[in-house]
Amino acid sequence: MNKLKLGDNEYNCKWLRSVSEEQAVRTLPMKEVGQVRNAWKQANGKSVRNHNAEKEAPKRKRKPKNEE
Amino acid sequence: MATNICSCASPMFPNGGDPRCLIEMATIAFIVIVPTLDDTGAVNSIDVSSPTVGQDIKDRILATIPVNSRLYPQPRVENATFDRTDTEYETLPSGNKAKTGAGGVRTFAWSLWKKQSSNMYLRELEKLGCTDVSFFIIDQNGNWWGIKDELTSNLLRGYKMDVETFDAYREYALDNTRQKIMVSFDLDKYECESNSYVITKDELGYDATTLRGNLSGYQTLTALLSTELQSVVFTGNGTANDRDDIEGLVLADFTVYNVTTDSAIVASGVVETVPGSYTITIPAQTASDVIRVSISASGYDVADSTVAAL
Repeated sequence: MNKLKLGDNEYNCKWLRSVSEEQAVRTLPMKEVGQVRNAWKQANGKSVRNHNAEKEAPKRKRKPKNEE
Repeated sequence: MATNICSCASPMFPNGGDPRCLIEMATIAFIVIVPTLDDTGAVNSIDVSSPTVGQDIKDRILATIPVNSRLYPQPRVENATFDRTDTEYETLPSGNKAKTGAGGVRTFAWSLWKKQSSNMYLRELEKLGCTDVSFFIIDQNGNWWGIKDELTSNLLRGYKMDVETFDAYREYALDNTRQKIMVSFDLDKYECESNSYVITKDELGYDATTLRGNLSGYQTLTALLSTELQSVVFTGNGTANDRDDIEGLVLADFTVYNVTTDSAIVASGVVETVPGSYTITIPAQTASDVIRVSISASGYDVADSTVAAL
């Protein structure tokens, strides 16, 4: 993932991964802090949005052995 | 030039009258380097007939002037020497002798110390040698010296440097000495030193020793968002892990340009988030367009940098 779109803003994920969360907030003073924190967390794998999460395949029930 | 005849013009023989007033060149304070030719191939020179000659010179030091027309004041020098090789003669068996034209090469040499002996400045000096350059001499009295090729000319050009001879190296500190940078080069062998003319500090309107050169600056550019760029601006000084930041720049110092579409981008804001790190707000550009940021801050010559738009 190179770009992350949140609201009207497209974030550079490579850069977000190279800085701390606080550095990202400080470097983007004109942006809403909550959005920058969200973007940093998502870029660094600390937060996974439901719609981005990989859907797990439903577990199949194993048939008990020697079932009669 | 010391072994050739500089002029055979009329009046033909050396008249020995005294000038009404003599302005002697005092000890050299520093030199101002100038590329010998500008971008058009014309000799870089100063129009001494300009009523604002002093300001003209100051304006030509600014980093906004094209590199090949700019004046580059250098740091103050110490212990300058001006050795000259002997004039060479051919002597025939009869004892008759005549000048051959060889010899008479003038070598300028000096040292730089204290703040002027930085490694950063040595790296700057190592840039010399690629292009033909000339130099004006600023003496300790604050006067500006150059060469006027014709008496009727209003153009003062620099002394031609033989750039192939330019050398600069570090002198290490000893128990009883400080570190220094040693500099030497030859004057072009065919330069006519007797054509030296001065612009006095009165004519300049200021003491020329007050002129200072720019500091080289560099920037790293990152696209943080589609609408935000980060420019980290620094000089070549500082410690190994603590760069010397260029602080205090403002919006007017930055010029943003879309190289792909060949159009200017109007930045709407610049914030210095930490010393030397600037976040620039721009309108979103087409992804992957090449964006260039130029910086023109007084006292600095900062290299342009480019980045791909997000």
